[in-house]
Amino acid sequence: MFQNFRQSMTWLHTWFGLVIGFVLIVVFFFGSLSVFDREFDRWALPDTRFDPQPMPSFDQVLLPALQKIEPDEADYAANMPLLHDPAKGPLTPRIELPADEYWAYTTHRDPVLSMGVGFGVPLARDPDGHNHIHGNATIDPRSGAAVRADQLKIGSEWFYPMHYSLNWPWMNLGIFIVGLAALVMLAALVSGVVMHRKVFREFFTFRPKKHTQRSALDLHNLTGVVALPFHFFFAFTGLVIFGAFYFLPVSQFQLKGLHDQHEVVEAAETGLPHQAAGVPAPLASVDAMVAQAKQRWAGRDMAGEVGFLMVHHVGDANSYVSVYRAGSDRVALVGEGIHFKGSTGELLFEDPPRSPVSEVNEFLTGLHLQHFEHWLLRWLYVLGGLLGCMCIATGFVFFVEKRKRQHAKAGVQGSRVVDALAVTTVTGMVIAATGMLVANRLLPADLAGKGDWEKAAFFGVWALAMLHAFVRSAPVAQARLNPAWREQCWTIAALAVAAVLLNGLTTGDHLVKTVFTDTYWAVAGVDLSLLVSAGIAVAVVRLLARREQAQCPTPAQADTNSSDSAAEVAHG
Amino acid sequence: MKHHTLRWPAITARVAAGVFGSYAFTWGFAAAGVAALVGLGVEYHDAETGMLMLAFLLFLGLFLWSFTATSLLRVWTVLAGGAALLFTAAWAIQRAILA
Amino acid sequence: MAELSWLIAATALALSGMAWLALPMEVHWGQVMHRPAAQAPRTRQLLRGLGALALLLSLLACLMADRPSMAALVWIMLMAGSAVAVALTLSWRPRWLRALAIG
Repeated sequence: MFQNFRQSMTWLHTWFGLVIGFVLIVVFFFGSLSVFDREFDRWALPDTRFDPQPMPSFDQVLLPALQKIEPDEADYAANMPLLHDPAKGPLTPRIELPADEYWAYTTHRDPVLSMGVGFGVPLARDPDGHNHIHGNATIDPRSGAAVRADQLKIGSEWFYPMHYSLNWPWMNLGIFIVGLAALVMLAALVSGVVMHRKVFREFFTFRPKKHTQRSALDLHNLTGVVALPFHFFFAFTGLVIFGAFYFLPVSQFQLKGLHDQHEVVEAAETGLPHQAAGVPAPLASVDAMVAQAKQRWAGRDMAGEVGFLMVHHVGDANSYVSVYRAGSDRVALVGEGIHFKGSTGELLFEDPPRSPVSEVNEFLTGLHLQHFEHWLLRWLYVLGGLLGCMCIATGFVFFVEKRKRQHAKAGVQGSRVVDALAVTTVTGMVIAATGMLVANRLLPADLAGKGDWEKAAFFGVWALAMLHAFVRSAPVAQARLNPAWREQCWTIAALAVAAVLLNGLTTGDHLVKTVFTDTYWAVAGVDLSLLVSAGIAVAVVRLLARREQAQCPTPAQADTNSSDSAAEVAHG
Repeated sequence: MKHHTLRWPAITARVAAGVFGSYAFTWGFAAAGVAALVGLGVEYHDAETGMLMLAFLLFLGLFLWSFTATSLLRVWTVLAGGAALLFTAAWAIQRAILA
Repeated sequence: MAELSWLIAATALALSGMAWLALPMEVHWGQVMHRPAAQAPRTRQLLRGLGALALLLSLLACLMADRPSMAALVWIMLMAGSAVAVALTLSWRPRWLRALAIG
């Protein structure tokens, strides 16, 4: 299909880069925001603006809260018909589903704690399967009081899922699209290096004063090459994280036989019962188990806090409790699980040290999911992510600049459409994110379904940005700049500043307070980042305004000029 | 840069091969690899973890190759044929282990 | 506090290291020094050596601050950030790098 290797790589990079770029920039941008997802949560939910807490007492705080959780109505409606076997009897009512597993999760950045229940399906089609209807909650660990369910955690429940699933849960299509995008990104990195002949000579090259096509390409190359290890590893580890469950689920299909056999063998080896016994039994003190776990970790020279706790087969004789250590001081995630018999608190099994393959996998996934406590590295991750966004955005700009003159002459609309889509996914996306934060502050705190209104605001604002981008894009068809870029940058600056002001006004946590008098870096960080973003947006506005003014006069103006001077010559 | 072969049918065929053909081969590679390693005594999760990391790198390689190879027929033969062989191998090995 | 000091040192070393690797390049030497690069082959060689050394010392500083798995990540990202910073400085304020053209 192509004449040589380089040509095929160029075609691949250009066209796959363009099409998938629209998805990838969303993944990169919201990935960057997700580094500080919990900080955005604090900003959006002022009631949760207190210091991170360690996991509280299970017996006194977590258990009573877990016992109050009910199966989620939407999950019940969607999944109960799939899991329940009608031949065995009528559908068990939602409130009567028995609790089968409990879990609780916290990290070093969480003031509030996430918890949930997996409710069992009594008359299931496949009794051996994982038949669970879920119910989740977030509580204040100091009191056990639940945070309202309809209050959206804008960071961890919107920006973060946007990053890995485009917030499109239907048939997990969003996750698959992001997975494909990750693969294409790896291909774009390799093909980009093949195309870029002067990788070393132009390593530090950025010529902003040249024409847009050259400076855009310079910046595209710079941001792509300089953070190449970052871009490659994040795409690769993203695939590895979801690999076994979504992208290559060989264990669930082709190799189900081998997989299930292994589960049985593993249960026998570890002494952790795979199935419930069907015999009721009480739950012993989990606090005592946690204390024992902490002792054992300290004994292995890795003292730590509990990151994740799970109770399996709740209320059954086969119940066991798994306690995992929070990985704040290392790259690998939670680990070092210790398992206790539920009814007696006796130690059943301690996770052995990981195999080499497992260590590599834990390092790779941990590198991406970053539960570690290292503020410099987190900010460097944000930088890497934003460099990726710049790489993609300058790719779009280069694509349009390279073709718009030919398209203008031929009367083709291609460049115009691509340019409008680029505005939508670059500045439009940032407008959507900042607009959502503004909506969060404008909407009343006690509004029912506030989270749904905020999501509507996010998409509504983005749709408006898209409309604006297209409506204003006519000049591109004449090989000129789309004014929407400048206008949307102004909007970003305005929204960002508005968000900071509204935060101060509606919560009283203005910057003077959160930086100096009653320091709270989570909120101060978001406010300061918004202000810096506004500053950058304004600088870009001025840059674009200069370029717009420097453009050649429009053909209409040129005609008037030349006919005027012709008239002058004729009369003069 | 456009020549007569860059028409929609040719592009679609090539992209389909690149995406779906490579995916099928990769799936087969992962399944056969895991089954083979388990057959050799490797613990199941270690086999799965190791093979999947390699599989994604293989997917990348196959994807790139499907665009640089001159003959589309060769691409489909290798990818579809290879996938079929690997699927069969995985099935056969699993059957042997579970028997 | 010790960790912070080592990380500051690592950052400073990464920035100077990247600058010392960029300066000897023909185009950038001209940008900063306003002299032809061919006139100063030994200085350029020296700067390249300094640059490599500084980047290596930056890695060591990272290793003093954190466990090896984290230090490796910090170092790689510091290099990326430093390269960008040096590139932007060369684009907008090349004079700032003149002080680093020692020897």
